[in-house]
Amino acid sequence: MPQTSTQTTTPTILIVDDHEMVLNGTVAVLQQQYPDANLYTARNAQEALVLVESRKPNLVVVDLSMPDGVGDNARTDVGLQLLKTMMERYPNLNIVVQSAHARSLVRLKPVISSHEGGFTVADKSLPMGEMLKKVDWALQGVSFTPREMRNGLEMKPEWMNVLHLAFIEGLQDKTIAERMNVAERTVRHYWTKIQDALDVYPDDGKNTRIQTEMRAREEGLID
Amino acid sequence: METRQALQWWCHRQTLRSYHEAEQIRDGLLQESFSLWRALEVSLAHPDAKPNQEWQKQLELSERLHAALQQMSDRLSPPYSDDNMILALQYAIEMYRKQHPNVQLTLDLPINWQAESYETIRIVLMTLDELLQIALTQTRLEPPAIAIALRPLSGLGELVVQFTDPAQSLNPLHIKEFAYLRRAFQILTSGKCFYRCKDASITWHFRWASQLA
Repeated sequence: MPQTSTQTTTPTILIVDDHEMVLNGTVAVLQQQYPDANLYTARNAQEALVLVESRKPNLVVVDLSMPDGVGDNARTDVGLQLLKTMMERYPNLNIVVQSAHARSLVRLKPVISSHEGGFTVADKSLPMGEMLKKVDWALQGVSFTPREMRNGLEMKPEWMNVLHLAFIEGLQDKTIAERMNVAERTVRHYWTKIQDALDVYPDDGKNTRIQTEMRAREEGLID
Repeated sequence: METRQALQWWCHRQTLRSYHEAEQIRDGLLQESFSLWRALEVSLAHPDAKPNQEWQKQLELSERLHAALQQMSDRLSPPYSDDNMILALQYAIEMYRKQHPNVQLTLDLPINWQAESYETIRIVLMTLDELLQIALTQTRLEPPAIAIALRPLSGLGELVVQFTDPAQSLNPLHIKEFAYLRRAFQILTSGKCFYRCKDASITWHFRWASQLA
């Protein structure tokens, strides 16, 4: 199973895109940022699945429009199916979707919502620095979905429970996990989803948990 | 009847051409400009790089070129037109809001929508765009409030656009472009188009039968 490391010093990264030039451009950017990384490339969905299984990457950077096999036409539904398969088979895999039109991801909302690995979306028109930020977030296990994928503030009951236990009862993750009868890792996964819903993302010098509490109060989710 | 078929054929050919041109840009120039842009960014970020003003200008130029190509391909074939009516409308309205931040605009879409042909989605988007353009041209000083809704209607699709215009400057009887648009929509989709006026509001209804149903 692919690793979910936030500590990995030499990450293994798979880049999936059917355009040779985009692949080369993305590889060059990642090579510069992660000089020790093991980088692999795939040009279609079938090749990508084989490489995820054999190379066990920490991170997959994937386009949405994708051919199924060699010689096939690129289609969004193939890219969506590839993502769905990867998230189902490897629930801890970190993923960056690099696409000009990521709105189609709305069809995978339930799968993305329950995916436990990092999941971020990097618009292809983002400058390199912004794209690398999304890569870094995904490697940290952060969730970042564009606003256009959401219908207002969408909170699951279990996320509301986490907010209550943490900020009203003042409990730590371990105790929250015991109270909710889930693994502590699941609580951490809930936090990333809550923070995405509240638009709280890693920011130098800021305490993410405190930011989350402030935003939750602003939205009236806790008193 | 022959005129209708001829115009539908003409529209079909033009939308297909636009689609292929957009795909050519997306598969070619857009990828090349992305690669060029990234190569410049990587060069400038290299520890040994000595960025100067000229490099910076080249970087900004490549970014602008990439954005312009993206916009051109999106104009030729709007995103999601070959995929999903709801996503295509959402995107179109988002762009419209960015271009006209002063216009009060609401969008009411169902969660699911029947499969539609690429051409139907394109015609609906073009019709909506023209309708909004005409309305805004007529009401430059005080843009109307606009409410857009997509509704399923027993086997038909319906786009409803309501303008609330206290100045009442959007009376379809006084604006010939509205009549042209209405007729063009009816011919191109073999559908129906009508409007209702009540006090300060005018509600347009565009109805079509799904070609894929």
